[in-house]
Amino acid sequence: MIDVQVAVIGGGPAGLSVALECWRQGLREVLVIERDNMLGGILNQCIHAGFGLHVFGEELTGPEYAQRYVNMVKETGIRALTDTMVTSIEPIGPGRLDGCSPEKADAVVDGIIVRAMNTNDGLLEIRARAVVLAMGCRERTRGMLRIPGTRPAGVYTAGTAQRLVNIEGFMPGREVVILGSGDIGLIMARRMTLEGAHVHGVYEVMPKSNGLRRNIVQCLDDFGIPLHLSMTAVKIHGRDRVTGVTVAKVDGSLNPIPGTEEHVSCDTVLLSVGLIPENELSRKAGIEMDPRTRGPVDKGGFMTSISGVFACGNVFKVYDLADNVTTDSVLCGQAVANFVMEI
Amino acid sequence: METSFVTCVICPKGCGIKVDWELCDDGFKKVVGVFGNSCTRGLKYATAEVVHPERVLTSTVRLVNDGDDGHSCELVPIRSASPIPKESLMAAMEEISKKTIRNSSVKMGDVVIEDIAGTGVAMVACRDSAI
Ligand SMILES: Cc1cc2nc3c(=O)[nH]c(=O)nc-3n(C[C@H](O)[C@H](O)[C@H](O)COP(=O)(O)OP(=O)(O)OC[C@H]3O[C@@H](n4cnc5c(N)ncnc54)[C@H](O)[C@@H]3O)c2cc1C
Ligand code: SF4
Repeated sequence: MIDVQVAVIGGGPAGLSVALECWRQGLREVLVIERDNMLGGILNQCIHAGFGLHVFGEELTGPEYAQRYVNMVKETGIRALTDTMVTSIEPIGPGRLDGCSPEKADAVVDGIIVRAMNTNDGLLEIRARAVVLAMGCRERTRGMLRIPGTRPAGVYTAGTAQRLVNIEGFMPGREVVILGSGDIGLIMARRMTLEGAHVHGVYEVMPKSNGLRRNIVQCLDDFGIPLHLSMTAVKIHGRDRVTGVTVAKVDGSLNPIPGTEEHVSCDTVLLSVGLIPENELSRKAGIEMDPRTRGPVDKGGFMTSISGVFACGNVFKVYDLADNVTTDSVLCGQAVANFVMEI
Repeated sequence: METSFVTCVICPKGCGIKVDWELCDDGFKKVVGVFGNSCTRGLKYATAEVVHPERVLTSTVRLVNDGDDGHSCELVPIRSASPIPKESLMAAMEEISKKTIRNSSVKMGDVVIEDIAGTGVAMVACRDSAI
């Protein structure tokens, strides 16, 4: 059993900022648990520039932004366990703690047990006064989109493709169609083009892209990649591997208009259709969820419905900008430190 | 006088900027007015975008180590230290794809390629290598 004041689950910008703020506020037993082999979270695969303008006043790439936080963490006594996956969190006992205002949360507890595992230690049990959920978000998958057709290889979410190209060094394909014009899709259109792929176009079902204007300019316009608005994929073709998609125009209610179908040959389809908070752990722990944000309900000061369990960053609600994650996570860190010091 | 409209790509705000310019005798575009930018970075960007468009290039480079405990390989993210001319992007990618860092570790900010595609700009590492 490891005893700590704060256990932070997830070592992305949210987790690192919370841990740092707890340290700055005077807590000395702070542990960050990260399932990946390095800290930094999703920013490690976001190799493009555009981070840090608010927090650092200069434009950084994702890895640079992450590295700055990793370096700051290294200067403290914050402990970090990488390659370690948290499997459950569980509040200890219903007992009430002195000094903690009960109206803040539904249940008041004596601490939280965090269960995790890695190859060195096997199963780990960590007892923490406070736990911070900072697991980030993931992408909506194709299943959630219900595009008819076969299930051939070559269909990826844009974020998976981003990981394959930027971290694993593997090109998912050469002839690419992108469905959805979210920022990650736009950024991957440019990245795949720079790496020698041919991006046929980006198809967006809405009449307007929800991607940033700067990304449309520097990721599509710069490379002559067309953006087709009010169009969607009605079918994905191919048995073993994608051979093409059928796209069609949509009407005002987003239904495909018969007769407008076009076939586009390709070997790869990237889906860029938005993010959802990663909350398996939270749900398993019985934390009350907000159906609107798909994150935990905020009971005040970033606390969830379980006393001592906090949430911040993209697990809490989807932020589009890492800088805003950091700013909010610092506030969360202050709330966590206050909570731990009160008990 | 001519007018161009550009979207600033320096920060996510993406200001729409109007640039008035004149064509000089030597073919050079001289900017005479910039409107709609919210900060001075935008002024610089919009001017460059009309006169000679530039972009920050980011990519990755292979790092290979043949250590005593075996062979390891990773991708290190890199960036151009400053924006490079837009027309040099593809040539720069060619050069990067040929580059491999061997048997050394890198730290954030280390120069990986000194002069990318003849632009005079360096490509630098964006994080420490794992090894
Ligand atoms: C594919 C993708 C691309 C994105 N691109 C951008 C972008 O270009 N610009 C931008 O501003 N924002 C981008 N975002 C949003 C981005 O998530 C946030 O800006 C920011 O990285 C969120 O920080 P975070 O710390 O909340 O989450 P993350 O950075 O995702 O960090 C969460 C960490 O928790 C770890 N984790 C999760 N579950 C467990 C567990 N059970 N046990 C241990 N560790 C766990 C994960 O491995 C991860 O490292 C992107 C998001 C995604 C999914
Ligand atoms: S002008 Fe300034 S505020 Fe506007 S997009 Fe450019 S950098 Fe951002």
